[in-house]
Amino acid sequence: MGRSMMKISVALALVALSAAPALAQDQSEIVRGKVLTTEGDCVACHTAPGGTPFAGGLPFKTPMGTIYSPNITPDKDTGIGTWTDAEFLRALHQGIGKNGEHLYPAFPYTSFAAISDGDVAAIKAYLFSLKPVHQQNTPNEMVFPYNIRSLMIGWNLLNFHPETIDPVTERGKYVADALEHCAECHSPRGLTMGVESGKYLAGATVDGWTAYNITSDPDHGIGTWSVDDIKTYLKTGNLPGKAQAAGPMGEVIVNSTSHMPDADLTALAEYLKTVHGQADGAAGRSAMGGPVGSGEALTGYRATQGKGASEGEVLFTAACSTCHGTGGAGEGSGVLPSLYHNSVTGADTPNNLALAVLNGVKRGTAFNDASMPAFRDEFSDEQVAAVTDYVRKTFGNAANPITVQQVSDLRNDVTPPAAISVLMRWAEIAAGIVAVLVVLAIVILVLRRRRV
Amino acid sequence: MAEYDADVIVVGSGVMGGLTAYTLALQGKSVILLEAGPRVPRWKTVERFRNLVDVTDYNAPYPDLDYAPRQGSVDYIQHTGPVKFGAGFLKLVGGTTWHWGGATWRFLPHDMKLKSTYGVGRDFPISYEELEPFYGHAEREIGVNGNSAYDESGRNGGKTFPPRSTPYPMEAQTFNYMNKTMQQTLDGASYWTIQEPNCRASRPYAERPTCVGNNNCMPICPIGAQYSGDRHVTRAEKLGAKVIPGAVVYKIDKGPGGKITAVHYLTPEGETHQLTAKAFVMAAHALETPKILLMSDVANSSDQVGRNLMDHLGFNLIMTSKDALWPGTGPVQQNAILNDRDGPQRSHYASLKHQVGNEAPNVPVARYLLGKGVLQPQLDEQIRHMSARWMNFNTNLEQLPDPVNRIKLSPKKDKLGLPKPDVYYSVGEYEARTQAKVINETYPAFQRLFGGTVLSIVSDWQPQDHQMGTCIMGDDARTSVVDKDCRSWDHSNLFIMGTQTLPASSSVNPTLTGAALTLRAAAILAKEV
Repeated sequence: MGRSMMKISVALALVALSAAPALAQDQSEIVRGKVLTTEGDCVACHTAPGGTPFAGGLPFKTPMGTIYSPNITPDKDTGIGTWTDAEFLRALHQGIGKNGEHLYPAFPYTSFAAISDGDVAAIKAYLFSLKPVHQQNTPNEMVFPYNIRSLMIGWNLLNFHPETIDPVTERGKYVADALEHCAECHSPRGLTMGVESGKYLAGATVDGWTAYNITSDPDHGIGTWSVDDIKTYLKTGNLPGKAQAAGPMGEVIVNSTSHMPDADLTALAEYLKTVHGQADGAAGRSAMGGPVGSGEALTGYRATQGKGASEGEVLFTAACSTCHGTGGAGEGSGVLPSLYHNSVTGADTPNNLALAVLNGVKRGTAFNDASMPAFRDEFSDEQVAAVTDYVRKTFGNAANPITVQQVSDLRNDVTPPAAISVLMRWAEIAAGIVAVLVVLAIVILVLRRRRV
Repeated sequence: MAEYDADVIVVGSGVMGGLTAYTLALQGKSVILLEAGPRVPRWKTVERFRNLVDVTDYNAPYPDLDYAPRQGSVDYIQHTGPVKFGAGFLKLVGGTTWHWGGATWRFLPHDMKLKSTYGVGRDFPISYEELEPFYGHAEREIGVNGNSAYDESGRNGGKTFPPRSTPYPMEAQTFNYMNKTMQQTLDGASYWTIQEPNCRASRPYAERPTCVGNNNCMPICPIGAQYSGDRHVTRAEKLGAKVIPGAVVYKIDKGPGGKITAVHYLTPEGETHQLTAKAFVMAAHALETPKILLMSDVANSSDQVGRNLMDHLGFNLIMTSKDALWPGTGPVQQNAILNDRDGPQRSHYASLKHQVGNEAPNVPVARYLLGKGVLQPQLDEQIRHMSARWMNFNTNLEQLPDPVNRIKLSPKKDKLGLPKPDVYYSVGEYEARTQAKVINETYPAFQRLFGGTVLSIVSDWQPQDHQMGTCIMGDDARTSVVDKDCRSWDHSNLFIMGTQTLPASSSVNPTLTGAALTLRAAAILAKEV
């Protein structure tokens, strides 16, 4: 090695040495950011079906048009590779994009506004550590006037009231409200489509699914669940004898809460136990019903023929009882759940059960790999309605039997992630604002003419 | 009006027809899938099964219609040979894989070069190496679980064999108690016992839930964890393919240049229809495919259509073991004993696969005891005792292709006026010699190992429902029906997909090999239409 080469090597080594602490710091920031990004469940919306995580492209279909989630990998052309820290912070805290445009609240900045500046920086550090994916954003296909982003100013005035939550002293609330944005789905909306005051986490309908009352009310909420119960549910999606997750909540568990650090999970569970109880929804939904009949094995006796069984019972016996048992007991561990003592059959709304029948359940975590086949290709709308009603009547809550039309509507909605409902709500209120503006304009015009 | 009714018409909607239609539809081709039988949802078959008088009749839950008779249909097949041929087939959308053990083996390189390696039988016109990527493709489509590290030849010192470029898409299911215990005993005596690769989901796979061990793979997997041909039919439909159930194809038209121009079908009511396409695929099972070709005088310049009928020749040893092994938990078949699958003995003795069945045995046990006149109060106790110890060693033996074993057109007609199949079936010296050796040498060894009490040795040939060879594949148009691309030597736009093209039967279940050849041929066809 020549002398000059030696010098260069030493110089490079020194540079490397001086950079090392910074790199280590960056690395810990990235690790922290990964946890936060998972807790915010960013991947759920920013990934197309079968696509690269975070590369966007998931369609959100609404009557006002289709919006596509953007690429948030650090690709400089198509992702967020050129975003500054300030721009990223502004997006999460104010719902304003890189070029000053207003973002649609499909992106839950209303919740993310409470994420601390330091945590936002960590999330950005993590996203910027990902492999850039060159994938063009699909342009939104919103129809006029919903394609006018500045309408969001009006919506924000009505609905966007960011709060400050201490990430340390109010950890549970911070995880629930700022990161996991639970209220986006679980809180009902009022006339202005903002969270109804005093109804925080009291339950709502999202994309056909009922997001249940998760307040501390012992009858209507989850007040009877222990902290460990809540943690088990959020970690595994399976709380035998009470509830199993499917649909959007199943996705939340798979993508987000099953990976949550235990301390945060505990804080979240303890916080939910303190949320003011609300008496909305069915009383005792996770304790309804009980075993039916003897649960006698089916082999060797005439299961249904000649018994005058209803269509629902015939379908139940043939298609459901293999796993759930003729008596509805499941197999005990909850991976093949019991149909009684099950919040989906005990709820006063039939839609979650019908959606599980139509679309099946896929909920794979490190703890169990629950899978129920979808019956949408096998059952007609009438058959889904019959089996849904039979199961609810026999094992749970018979209130509000499902109609064939409801099943048809549930079947034909492409099952989107939870965030779509937020957009729907916004779109509705935007329509309201436009309507108000149009009425105002007409009134003004009429008044002017009268003056003339 | 369009020039053709479809780019491709596929006759038969079983696993092979479904894979073909799916592959073509995925490439944007228009496909019509004709199925003689009706469409029946899974739940309906489960319902019918549970209301049966005899739940051990695997065909009974499935439709047996006068326009679409299935396996076991009275007086449909006309048996004219010395051995009754038990052709296994269902006629409904999805085909015969609605009821099967789900075994999805690859053939060994030697299985495909039997003539050149051991001087018996025939060679495939394609090598294992050339087919290997399509085996992987078929395993992923069908969703197969297995152990990628296994030596499936019993001849490779325990290392992976045959070679694979891609692992099984799912990990092998765990062995139940019987299989674990049995494997220890057999391995200790230098028997090579492995988990049989199969198409039950060992984790959620595509539309299928995880197998939870209902022990009901035949006659119907009640939860759809096991693959059945309807899966790819449904997927093809979602991509635009059109399925016509109740379409009994009875005639194929030839046009100028040896091209096939149209197929004709009858509805259950006897109405006739004609459909045209750029290309045609016959995937109507090893029995009906040659029958339709013979009825139309198509693809038969070699006079080999319908000949070389093969099945795996089955026979078994039933005994009770000294210790309770508790068969009947988990899937119906899980293991295979492969010592005699390959080796130089194949010049004189057929390839063998032994397997201990895992069906819950209480029904055959009860039948056996009642036959012996055992009554209550002893009956219940003895059923329990014997059911825990029941061992059914089932042997599958490779049959060589022989042109005398053949399907012809019977003068007898079915309800639609179409000829019934006449089947001449016999078993040769090679196979009979092998069976004698197993019964004299291998079965006594199994008996000693498990301290068994032999209940019966059933040496009558039992059908395994693995029919092959009736549209045999080869590299010479004078002696075979299709080339290695499954293309008819006589008609460039006619393909024959399925196990009826296999020129050698090996001793393992042939569906995966049929599927691999089908996927390969479908990809070729997709480029031509």
